[in-house]
Amino acid sequence: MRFPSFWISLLLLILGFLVYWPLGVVAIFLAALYHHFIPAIIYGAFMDILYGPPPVFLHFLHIPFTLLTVVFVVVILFAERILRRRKSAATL
Amino acid sequence: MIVPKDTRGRYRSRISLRVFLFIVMVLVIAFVVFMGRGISGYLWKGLAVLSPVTGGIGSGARAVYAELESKPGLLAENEALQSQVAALQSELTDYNAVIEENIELKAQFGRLDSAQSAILAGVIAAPPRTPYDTLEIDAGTDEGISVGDLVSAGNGLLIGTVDTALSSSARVTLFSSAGETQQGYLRGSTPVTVIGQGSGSLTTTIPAGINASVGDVINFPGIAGDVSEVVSALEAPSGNSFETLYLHLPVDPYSLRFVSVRLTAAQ
Repeated sequence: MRFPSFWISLLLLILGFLVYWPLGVVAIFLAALYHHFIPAIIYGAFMDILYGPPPVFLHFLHIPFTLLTVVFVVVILFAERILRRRKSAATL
Repeated sequence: MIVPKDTRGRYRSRISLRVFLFIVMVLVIAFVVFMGRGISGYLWKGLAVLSPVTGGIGSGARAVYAELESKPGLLAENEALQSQVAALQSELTDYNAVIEENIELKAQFGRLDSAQSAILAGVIAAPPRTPYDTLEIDAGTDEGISVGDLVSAGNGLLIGTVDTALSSSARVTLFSSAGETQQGYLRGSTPVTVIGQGSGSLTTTIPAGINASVGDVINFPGIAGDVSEVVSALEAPSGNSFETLYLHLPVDPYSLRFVSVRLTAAQ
């Protein structure tokens, strides 16, 4: 059976809104890790809409969760690329 | 260089996926920036419907935690709390007498606080449901709330200011929000600048000669003498000319259900 990553990330996001907000960040990371990039961006955007920009510290970021999602996506894509290259080099 | 057909196709699809992702990101960011705050109030109201569920989850977690705690530990804690309640009750009797005297004196000089208009607002979400040490409340510009209004937990205990005001909801930034600075008076006399550190804690520095102690209060500037912070710990390294005070809000923001918003626009 495949790991239900999308549904688990969605559940974590909902729990983040209802109980403890850092679970939302975990949901974004999980969605990005399992290549659900569009849902991950939507999660980040939804968190930004709900929580608004940071009040004082990091206010300049304006949409911190969406930006964090972009960072996650980019880092995961780059990490996979590097790993794939290393693997192909090792095979050769 | 000749690239095989299937490789070219895969390369093209990878490029088109990246372009698609980029377009989605730009659209989502534009939507959040231009439309986001407008609909957040409605989203919070929608989530408020689910508050019984969240309350259930919270009380369930507390019940499990209580089960895990040992009985002798709970008994000792109970006894300590009972003695603390008795001590606080006697202190409260003195406090009430002082408050009454304060109100009488202000009335004699024509500076009664009742002239200040305030409205009660329900807390839709508080930490740890919200980040940045903020509260979402169920009253907004329709009720006369505007940005910068002071928010209290009642009885002159100030906790923050209104940061964003929408038509039917508002966001309150607690004084403890990271980077938030605020002026005050230690024990009503020594001016201090209090800086928020996040998670309900704050800090300030005072000259080493001032004998501050745990339990001292920081009064908000103004004749009302509202309390905005309480000293919870202090650090005074020997030979240092400054002491660092660690403070907390006068009430636990995590357990607030209602707050009072002092309307500045109405004055």
